[in-house]
Amino acid sequence: MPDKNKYPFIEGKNISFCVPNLENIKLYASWDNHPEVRKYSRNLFPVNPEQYKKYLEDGQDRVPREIGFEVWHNADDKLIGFIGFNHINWADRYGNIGLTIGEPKYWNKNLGFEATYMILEYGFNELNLVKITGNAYEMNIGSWKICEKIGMKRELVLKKQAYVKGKYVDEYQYYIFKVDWDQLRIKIEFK
Amino acid sequence: MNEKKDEKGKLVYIPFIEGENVGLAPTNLDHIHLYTKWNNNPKARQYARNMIPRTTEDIKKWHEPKEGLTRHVGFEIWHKKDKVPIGTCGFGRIDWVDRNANIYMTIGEPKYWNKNLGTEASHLLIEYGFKELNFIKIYAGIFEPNVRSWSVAEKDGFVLEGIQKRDIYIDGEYVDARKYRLFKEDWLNRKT
Repeated sequence: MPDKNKYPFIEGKNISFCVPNLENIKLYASWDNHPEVRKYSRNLFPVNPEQYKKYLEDGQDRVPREIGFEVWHNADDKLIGFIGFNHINWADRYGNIGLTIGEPKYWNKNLGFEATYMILEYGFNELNLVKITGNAYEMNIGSWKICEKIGMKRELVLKKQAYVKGKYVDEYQYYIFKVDWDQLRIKIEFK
Repeated sequence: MNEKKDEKGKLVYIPFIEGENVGLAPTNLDHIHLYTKWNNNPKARQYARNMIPRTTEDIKKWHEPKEGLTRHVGFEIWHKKDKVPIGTCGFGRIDWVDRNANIYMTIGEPKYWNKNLGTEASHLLIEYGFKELNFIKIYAGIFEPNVRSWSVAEKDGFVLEGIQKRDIYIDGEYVDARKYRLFKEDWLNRKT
């Protein structure tokens, strides 16, 4: 049972982003080890909850190159995933996003789309980024369909970039500029 | 400083891979002052993406051996005739499962530019990557204005996989990044 001490940072319609919490590291580990979930987030090595401790405890006297949030389901008051920027170049003003919905029963509910919307808003309107990118392997259809639905464009196809289940697969990289997002965002709303 | 020098007081060349005019040698902390100079050299660092001044301490840390299987293999490039190191090169972001890596190279001494030494060094490095480290794919990101670099890559048979637009901020403007790739089979089948 995830600890109910959650610290919301960004609130959305159906989901919220909260501050990563040392007390939930067992749950993060369960997602990264989950046979179904880890297929798409590309975790090849078993993960021990202790490994998150170091990541969360590292001091922040330097400007972070990574910013992560817990994704909480509002109505069910449940921690369902993790989202954030895993690579920010501050001078170039771009960041790369990563998202995992760790609980399979929350897949196919448009929540990934909603989370992507919120992280783009945060990246462009708060972090003052100019370009945001996201990657997905070709078999991770759910992921790159979100990128396309939200208006990101496919910039690169990296051929045979990763080895998955016995064969080499391509990786798709998507991007969006702030000027494009400013037009797209007004057309999106959530029920 | 504790530099390994021979009787004539010259830096010692410990080759790992030999070429005709250049050789690749292990990085040597005795040469840290050279790496620091190249890393900060305004001409050399522009396209190598060094925007922050680096001290010898920073550079030392980067070369320090770490635990576990390395994700980075680095070399010094030596000019055999002049008996001096002239730059660094290597593979970063090595993914041993996917069998690919990012290739990088900097000739740190501008007087050694435009002499085809970069081409020779990259050949040695690519051979090493495919034939010794067993990569199946080598990739490189090169900024659009760095024509010298991506011309060499294309001559070597690297294929333009795509362009990342307005990716990087150099000298007051955004430039594109050209993403190149080279598959092992294409390298082995190339016409020499």
